[in-house]
Amino acid sequence: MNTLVIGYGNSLRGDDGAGPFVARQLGAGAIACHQLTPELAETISQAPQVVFVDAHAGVHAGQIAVLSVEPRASAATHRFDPGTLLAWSQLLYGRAPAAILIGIGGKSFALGEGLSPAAKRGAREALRAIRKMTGQ
Amino acid sequence: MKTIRIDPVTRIEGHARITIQLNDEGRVTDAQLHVTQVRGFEKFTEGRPFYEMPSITARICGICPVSHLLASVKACDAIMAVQIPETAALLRELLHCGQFVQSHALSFFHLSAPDLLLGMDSDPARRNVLGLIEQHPERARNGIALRKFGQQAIEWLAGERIHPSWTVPGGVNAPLSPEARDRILAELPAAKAIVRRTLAFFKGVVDQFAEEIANFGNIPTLYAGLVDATGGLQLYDGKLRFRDAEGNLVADQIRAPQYAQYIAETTLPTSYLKAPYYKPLGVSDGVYRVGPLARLNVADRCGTPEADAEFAEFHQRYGRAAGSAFHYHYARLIEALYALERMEALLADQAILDKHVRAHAGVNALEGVGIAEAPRGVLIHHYKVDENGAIRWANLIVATGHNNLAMNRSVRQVSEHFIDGNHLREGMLNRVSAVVRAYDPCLSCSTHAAGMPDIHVRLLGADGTLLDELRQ
Repeated sequence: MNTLVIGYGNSLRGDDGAGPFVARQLGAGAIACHQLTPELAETISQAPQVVFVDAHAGVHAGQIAVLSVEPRASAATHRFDPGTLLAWSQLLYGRAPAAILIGIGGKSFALGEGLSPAAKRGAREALRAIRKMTGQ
Repeated sequence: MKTIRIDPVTRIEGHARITIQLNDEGRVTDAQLHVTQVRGFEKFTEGRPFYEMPSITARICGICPVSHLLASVKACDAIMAVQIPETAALLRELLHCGQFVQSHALSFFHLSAPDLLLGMDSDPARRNVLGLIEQHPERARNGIALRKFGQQAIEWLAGERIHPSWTVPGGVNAPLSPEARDRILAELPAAKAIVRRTLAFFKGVVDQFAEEIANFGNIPTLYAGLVDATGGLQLYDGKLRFRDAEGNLVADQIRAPQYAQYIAETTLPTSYLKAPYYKPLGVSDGVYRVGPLARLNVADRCGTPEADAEFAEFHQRYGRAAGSAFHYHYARLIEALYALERMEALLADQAILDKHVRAHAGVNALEGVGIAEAPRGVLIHHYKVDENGAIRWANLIVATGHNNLAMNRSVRQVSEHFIDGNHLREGMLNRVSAVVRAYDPCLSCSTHAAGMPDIHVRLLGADGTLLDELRQ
């Protein structure tokens, strides 16, 4: 696949696990992770384009929002976001690929495993959008 | 009386505050490091089945979860009274080495390199990882690549980079595949080359920090760490050894269940972080340090060729017991080299692919102690269970806790030497934070993150009047 998918979030906080859930459904080539970390900058610098997938408290539960991502340099290493990763990719490896963020609306972010029915609907919607985008 | 507060300290793992007291002449009279929040793992794990403890306690930290996993499973092994299969021990150590590499890379390149490469007095707006990327992109790339290798090795071994569930009471839950072994072996040479380059670079510039070396926690303390039966460095297993500031052995070959005969804990009124001390000498004289510097100070050798050569040079430069906390950086790089060499040796061992990797048993003892070396130092998990295996009592002594008293003394020494209360400069305060960074405290092991990192320093007059203020 020419598109690198990175789904991130805490699978022990209910719908926050929507991102890694989507990445795992896509299988090999997609990255499911707990959080974004600096070393991903090298990986994304080699990808033609990147789709980040994350649960999004600002999106209606069960729906998705496709958001643009632009490089945004930040010195804060406690909390990485897609824009910071793109900036690190550009600064360190000379290239920041085109990227979007698919935000999945969640309903419950309480302690516990598994997605709510609404977040599952959102995750399926995100999968459809990614597969359409990548021609799968 | 005036007070300077550095709140919170930046570029450390977790959050802390430093308070510096000045007299009316602007001279430092006292300084303290405060850890301001409490996690409570020792209390809320009571009642949980002992075999859940590795998974629960790994959540203490996102940086060194493997250390908590290993100390915890070792305590559980003791409760089960099992000897784990040889291959399981090899695999646990291999996983641990991966964690040492990624954690030491994080500390050196991401957290402390801005001070070391850009300068303690450089523009604070640029003295961060972005400034490092701009001015030293190759070193920044090296740091990312080295940390990536360690994290990748953990994932190839254990399935996940953070909080893997592979290590279990009795061993590990799956053998190593030849494919995973070969993937790690293929990446090892590049990682070793990075550490060799970085060590060569650091040894070339370390003498430029003579004033910091002389005043960064350059204090007489004891040192504690794990060693094997012949005094060689141990990260996963081994027995506890204490050495004093003159290099004399104080206690040696202390088995895990004996730790409480040598280590006692007290509390400080100004911090939620417990303060362990060497029990036979009491709180005042029993201050000891753990972590990379302490491990190299207590061990007689590393046990791998390249690390042993570096070990010899290190002690030739700084003596049998190198006393300055600034040398934590140097020691960290030597240990990264050791961990990589050790990974190579473990992967070359034919037993590493053996399929027998787990022993099964129920509760055969009502108490268990597990000790491992976390990247930041000795980590102790001590559990007591009932007949059904439910936790009745738990005591966790984390590396940062062992260093608590020494960090406080170090903060005071740096403050006394560098701080002039009448002419406050940011570089002075940065050095106070930098000595804490040298210890690489993992406050996540004892605190919850709160808010975004920020430094706000206020200089107050004796009557509480705001005299000066700096915000970073």
